[in-house]
Amino acid sequence: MAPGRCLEDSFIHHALPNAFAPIINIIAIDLAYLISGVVVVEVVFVYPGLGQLLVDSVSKRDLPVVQASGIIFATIYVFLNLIADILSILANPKLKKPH
Amino acid sequence: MTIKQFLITSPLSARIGFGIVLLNLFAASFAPVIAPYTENEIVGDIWLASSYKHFLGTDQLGRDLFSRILYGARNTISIAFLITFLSFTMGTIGGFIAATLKGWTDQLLVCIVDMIMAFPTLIFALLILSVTGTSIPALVVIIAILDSTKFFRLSRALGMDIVVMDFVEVARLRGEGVWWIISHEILPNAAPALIAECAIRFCFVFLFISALSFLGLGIQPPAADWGSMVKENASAITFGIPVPLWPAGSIAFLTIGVNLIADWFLNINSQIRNV
Repeated sequence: MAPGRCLEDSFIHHALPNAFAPIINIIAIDLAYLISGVVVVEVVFVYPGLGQLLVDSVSKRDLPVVQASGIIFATIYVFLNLIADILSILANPKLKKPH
Repeated sequence: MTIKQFLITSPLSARIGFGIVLLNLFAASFAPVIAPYTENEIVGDIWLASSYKHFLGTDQLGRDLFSRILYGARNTISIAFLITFLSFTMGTIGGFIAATLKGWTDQLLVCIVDMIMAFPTLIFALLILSVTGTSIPALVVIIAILDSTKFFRLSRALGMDIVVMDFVEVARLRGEGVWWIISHEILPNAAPALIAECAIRFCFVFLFISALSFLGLGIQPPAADWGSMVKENASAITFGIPVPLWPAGSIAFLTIGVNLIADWFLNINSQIRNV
């Protein structure tokens, strides 16, 4: 522990920046998982959302709707990963350097 | 390892896992012999309670649930096995080729895999299913390709570590071809991790097919399949009828069994590595 610092202080300044990157990654992966999970959830609870629309359009083979909603889901997914990467670099500047 | 050795050395959890898997395989292969009725025979009223005549009751059309679970084991397990095998083959060959050849081949393969992985798996499967339609061959190929990306990642990472070893250099100097190096040097050294991954992937494929069937886009009725059986009978749960719990329980049961075996396998290999 750094000299002259209380426990909370060392947690925030030393432990957290190092532990933050994996935590953010896990959160991003979980969010991404939930994004695709929403399709199943919406069908279960007959909730008229994007997931339900996607599944209905697949069974009707309405290709443009499927493509559009697929792109929306993929965009959210990619941006979530991007935000996770940016946040983990902000939290721990060590990651900026190439290995 | 002989069966006797296995029974002595393996932990209880692995034995339970093997028991579960063998039970499922037995049910799948002897379904027509064990099942009291055929797959699509309507034998009585809908959602009958379990009785001596109907072991687990009847489903939403009055078909015997126990028989359908047995036939469902057949469809679901065989398709899941086929998919795992295909994706394992595609993924590992691709990954090892990328690791061995390096350069632009590696770049190209990684690029393709990254592109596939940029979409959530379920959404991507739905996208392609809307183009091809829901037939079993299409289902198998789509899920196999989507799943092979995970095998590709793993086998490429493993292959990268092995390719730089001395014995691979020696094989290269000896003038062995790429295929020989992959099959004789890299594959045996990467096998334990890949087999463990295979077992875990099998569970995921299983759940994935169930999810697709649940959405009505997997295995089509009247063919019995555990996932679609849950969906077809889902409304029974509001009346307090336990019918959808049986196929759901079967899915959970087999998944646990395969996971127990995978755990045991991983455990053994980590022990070998530590020694």
